[in-house]
Amino acid sequence: MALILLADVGSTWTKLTAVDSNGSIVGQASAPTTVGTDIMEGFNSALSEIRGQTGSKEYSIYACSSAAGGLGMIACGLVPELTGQAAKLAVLGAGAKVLQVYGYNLNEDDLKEIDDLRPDILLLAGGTDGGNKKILLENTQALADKVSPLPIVLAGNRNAIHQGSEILSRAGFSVEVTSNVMPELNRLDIEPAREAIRNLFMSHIVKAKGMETLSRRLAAPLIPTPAAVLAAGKLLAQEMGELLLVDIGGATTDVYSYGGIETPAGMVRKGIVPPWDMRTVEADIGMRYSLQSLVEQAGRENILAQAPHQEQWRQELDKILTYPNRLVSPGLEGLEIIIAQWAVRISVQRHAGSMERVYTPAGATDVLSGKDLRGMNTVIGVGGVMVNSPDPKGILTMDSKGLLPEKPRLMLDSKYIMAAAGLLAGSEPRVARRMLAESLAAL
Amino acid sequence: MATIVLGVIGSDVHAIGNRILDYAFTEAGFNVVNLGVLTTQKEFIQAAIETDARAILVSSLYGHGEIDCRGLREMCIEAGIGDILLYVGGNLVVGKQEWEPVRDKFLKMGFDQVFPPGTMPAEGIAMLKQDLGVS
Ligand code: B12
Repeated sequence: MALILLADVGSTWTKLTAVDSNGSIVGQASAPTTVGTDIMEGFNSALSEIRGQTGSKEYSIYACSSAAGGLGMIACGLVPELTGQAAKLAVLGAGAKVLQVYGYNLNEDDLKEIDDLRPDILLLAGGTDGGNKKILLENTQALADKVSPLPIVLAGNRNAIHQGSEILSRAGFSVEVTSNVMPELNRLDIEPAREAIRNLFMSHIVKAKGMETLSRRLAAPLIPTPAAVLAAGKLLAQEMGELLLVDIGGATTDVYSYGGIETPAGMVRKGIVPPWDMRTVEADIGMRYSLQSLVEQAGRENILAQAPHQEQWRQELDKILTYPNRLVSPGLEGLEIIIAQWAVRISVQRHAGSMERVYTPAGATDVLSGKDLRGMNTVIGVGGVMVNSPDPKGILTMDSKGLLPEKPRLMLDSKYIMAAAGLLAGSEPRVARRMLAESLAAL
Repeated sequence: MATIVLGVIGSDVHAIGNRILDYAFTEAGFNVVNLGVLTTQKEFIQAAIETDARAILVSSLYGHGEIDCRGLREMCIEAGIGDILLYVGGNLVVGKQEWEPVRDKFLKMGFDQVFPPGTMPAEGIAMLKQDLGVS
């Protein structure tokens, strides 16, 4: 049987993994992603290395991509905390990057900004089913009048989407109509919107030269890389129970959680019931391009407080802040570990919901909103920062306060195959599980 | 049928009446969006906007109704739903006080109907149908 080739065409590296039908990894290679010329160049050079390793010429190929900025989207809802949040969660769950989120009526500035940002897709929601139609229709009209056509996923009030779709189609927009992201107040239904986004992604979005050539050779449609990671985590959670994945990047930190949506006895839940499989992205938390804002969030002094030699670390921190691409000086890797630890803490804290104790005349009651991560029994580190660190365990260790995981075991995707395995989660779950088992290492 | 938003305002946890109202108004044909206990003014208003509700029904049982309800009408006006019907009922003030002044106080706050303690759901339903002009 032909080997399976899994490709992750990333923003800087194109990573290929070859597995046999048992899920054993038989080859791994990477080459710089060649968005500037044709992405097939990078792909082919990694492929020839794989051919050398495996001796095989025939592969069934699967791929995900985050090259050329990934899938960039805008989310629009009505009330920001309700359909605005629902739309944002759907966009993130589809593996896209959120460029902007809008609520209520789009004004002239918003419309201009949308036109300037030129998202790959805009997700337009608003109103529960049978609820507010006015704002959604006014927003479709405003987009039709003021913004040059772009692909739209319409996932708002079912009583308004058809009229909205007509308005947009007439103005030349390609529109995918799908179920409401919030059919009833506080109840999410984001899977249909995620699906619609993936459909548009594969049919409409050609992000870089060579992408179409690659697509034609694939056994399944190309998907955004985070969508593949989300799928891999889901597969793991089915076996291992509630879990959390954290992926620290240069510019952003992604957190994926599976579970944590039950309301514990004696608590009152408020607001949206979050999706069982949820992805959040912190755009201001990253090890390179977002280092400045990460350090601000963590507090410079908090970082330095953990230094064995304060002055040395202080100088080093200034250097990497000025030159984000610079590697940390030998002997000072500890600084990078502490910074990464803060990235995890801040991102997981933001991913988690909140628990507020309200004191009523009858005593204290806990009001819960968002995700309760206390029961997450596994936390898995994913991505280059963690794989290449001498102390991934240190990075993933957090205090178990509030709604954060209580006593999780810590693990590492040691072979960096989360996205690759996710590509097979739907069609070859057995192979995907074997790959994950081979890569996951207890810390 | 008309959508209504229902909830118990403030730090009030009396849940039983709320469930009865949810059941009774649903039976009467309303589309009830029930926010339950411990509901803030903001949550009432956001829910009403998103669901295009025709009325907000506020309960307050624990005696702090006056503080909790103050400013709700003004916030509705700010949020662009100033015309929405606002009803309130339960045990609105502490202890047994003369009803007329209590009612007037809440009417002055901008509530359209104010119901005394022990009001049966049927009374509220009849009033709402009348105010909305539905049968
Ligand atoms: C059960 C109860 C509790 C339980 C609640 C359990 C729960 N999760 O629901 C507990 C023990 C927690 C509790 C606590 C308190 N309670 Co208490 N509680 C009661 C009790 C005995 C029954 C309430 C009830 O369920 N009634 C049955 C339901 C069906 O009736 P209802 O709530 O009045 O609602 C109906 C109508 O009022 C009307 N209605 C209500 N809202 C609206 C709105 C509209 C628009 C309309 C049309 C109609 C409408 O329709 C509803 C359905 O028929 C009442 C006394 C009583 N007999 O009413 C005291 C009572 C409400 N509690 C009272 C108090 C003071 C408290 C506490 C402050 C302290 C205490 N003494 O324990 C705390 C406050 C807690 C908090 N943060 O909210 C007082 C309130 C006094 C006041 N307002 O001046 C009462 C009246 C007792 C009393 N006589 O002192 N309580």
